[in-house]
Amino acid sequence: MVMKLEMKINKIINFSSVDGPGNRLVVFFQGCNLNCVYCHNPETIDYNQEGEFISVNQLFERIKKAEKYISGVTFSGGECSLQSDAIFEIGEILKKHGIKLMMDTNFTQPSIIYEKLSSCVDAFIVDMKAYNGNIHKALTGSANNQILKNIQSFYDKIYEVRVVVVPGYNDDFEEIQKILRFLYEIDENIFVKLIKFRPYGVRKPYNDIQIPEDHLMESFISLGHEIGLKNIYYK
Amino acid sequence: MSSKSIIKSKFLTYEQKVIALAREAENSLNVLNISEEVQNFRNEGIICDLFEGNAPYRPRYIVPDYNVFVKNGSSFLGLNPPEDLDELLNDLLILYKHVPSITSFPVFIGRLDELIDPYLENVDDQYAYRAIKRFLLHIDRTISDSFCHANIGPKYLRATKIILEVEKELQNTVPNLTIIIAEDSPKEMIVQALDSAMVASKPSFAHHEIFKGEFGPDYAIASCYNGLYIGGGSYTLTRLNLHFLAKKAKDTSDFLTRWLPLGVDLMIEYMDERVRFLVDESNFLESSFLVKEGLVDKNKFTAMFGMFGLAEAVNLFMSKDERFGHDDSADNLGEKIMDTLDSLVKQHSNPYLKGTNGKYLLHAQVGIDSDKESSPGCRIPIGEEPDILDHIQQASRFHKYFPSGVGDIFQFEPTYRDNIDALYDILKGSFNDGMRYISFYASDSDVVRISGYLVKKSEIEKLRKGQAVLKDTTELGLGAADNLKVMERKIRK
Repeated sequence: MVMKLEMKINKIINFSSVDGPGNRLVVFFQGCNLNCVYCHNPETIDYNQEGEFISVNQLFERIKKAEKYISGVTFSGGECSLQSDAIFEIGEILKKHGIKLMMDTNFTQPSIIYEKLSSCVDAFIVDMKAYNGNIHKALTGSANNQILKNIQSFYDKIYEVRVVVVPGYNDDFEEIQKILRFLYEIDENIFVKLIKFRPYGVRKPYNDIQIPEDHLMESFISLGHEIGLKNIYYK
Repeated sequence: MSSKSIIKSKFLTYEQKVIALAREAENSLNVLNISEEVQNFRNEGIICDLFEGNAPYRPRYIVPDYNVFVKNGSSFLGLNPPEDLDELLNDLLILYKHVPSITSFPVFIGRLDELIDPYLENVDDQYAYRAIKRFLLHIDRTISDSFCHANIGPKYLRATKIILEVEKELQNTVPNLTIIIAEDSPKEMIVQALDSAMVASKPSFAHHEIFKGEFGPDYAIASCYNGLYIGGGSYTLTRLNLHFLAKKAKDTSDFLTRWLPLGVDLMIEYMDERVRFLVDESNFLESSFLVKEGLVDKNKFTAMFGMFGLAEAVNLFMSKDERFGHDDSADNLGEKIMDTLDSLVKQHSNPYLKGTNGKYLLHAQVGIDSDKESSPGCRIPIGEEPDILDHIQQASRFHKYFPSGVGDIFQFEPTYRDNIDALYDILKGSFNDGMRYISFYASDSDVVRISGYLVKKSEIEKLRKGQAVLKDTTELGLGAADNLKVMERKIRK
């Protein structure tokens, strides 16, 4: 018998209305390779800080209990793609049972990982933090070359690109314009959601950052329309 | 309240005073033959008739067949069958003022979309919207009691769509509104209804296949959420407090084999007597034009055996770690109690209950404003609600027992308005697991579902300040907020 893999997760939410289409069961994986200043659940960043191990079978049982109530499952985090072997295994089982799976990922891993996962993951929800590499580094502590490359490679599997607008980091016109133009050049129909930075759960001192005003967000939406993006909105 | 204090009250409206005085007059009579054992249980709060009064002179719930009225008009009211939309809506408003119930207001005002839709043929949407809006506004402002209930669905008619649009705009507490959802009801209709629920706290959702399996197609959801035959109703609703009854028992077995059978016997003795007086002596069925003209028929009447406080009854017999709603053995005991109650009630036959072959129908009673220690029906107590998935699946286990009504209520964060499909998934899942009746509302709405009826938070605050308010149910809402903690229901994120 083949050993089923284990994964380390922070928690499971049976019902979520904000992690993809319809009602979704969300699994938050433990551990992330980025260190975003606006992270809402920083306790999931350090792999060793929190979390519990769960086997593929145990996770599948949890999902089956909720199956009739959900449009699908979303793997989030932390960064779920760091545990891609286990995800592939549970993903194949879900696929066999007709249960849809999305991954909310930072797209930092080598393309080959997402290539493999594409066979069992229906769509990716992607966080694009910045276009400019320096801004990205300031926001997350890491470079973004691989992320941009993956967005280009897997755009037809992307459910939504999320851009958190963080005052003092990526909220200037030029940077947002670059992000939106980059996305437009990939696909004018790509779904783009601009999200206001919000301080809830965010670590000090970043929780002092101001929430962007509506008129700023609206001006970015207009900018997106001018560029030619067909599906852009903000929250 | 004495007659004098009713008359002098500063916060009752004139209408509320008249109704309260009528109740005082009724309660000055002693016409029911009540045994000492029954009276003791009533005094102890184990048996409660929900203020039905000492001399029942109209059925508690009357569910007229409005199709008969629309087809024939009414000779008693001097109305011909309506010929156009305006006549239909006007005639219905006339009729509503002559449909009594325990509250003195009608508890069922029809399957409105089916009644209205045939009259929309030569009417454009804008005209229909305005006419229906006037109609529903009239109902809210004149039927000043939130137990007044309208039904729509399961077909998505033009009228269904317009009624939902109007109700979302009006955000009124009356009428209470249920949409009946069938296997083949279109998703578009369900999504529109959910969208309305997240703004106006209505409609609620009834599982058609479950009700149809018990009543056939001709049933209505009346008052709180009570399944009853159209053209019939319920003579009475009395409730058994399982919690207080369980306090008398030594252990589970003593409860199931001694006290529960005794409680059921005394309940039925009392209900039989109420039904007997109403049918044999009050002359309602002999005198009402609703009977003479075929809007109601005694062959379609039943009566409702209510219960509440199951959670607390179970918890009395379990250890501290085994709470109802959180622990399998506690929930299993809950089911065992319900199985026993169900079979005890079914053993009894009352020839007056012609609609249901002499049987009383079980009803999960939603509680009254003064309840403090016993939760509604078989609900998990507010403050102890588990995760929503576990909550729905636990509640669904108990819905099968209650043809004449049971329901669970879930409060959501307003963010769900942005993803109504998520609520659609939850609704579908719960129906799949046997949920009979479910209600949703958003935590920031002014209109809130108290237990089985709607009240405005803003009206409760007025009443709290001693001001008179239009709806008599606002006072019940105020009590329920203070005692049943209904405003503290868990918010689902």
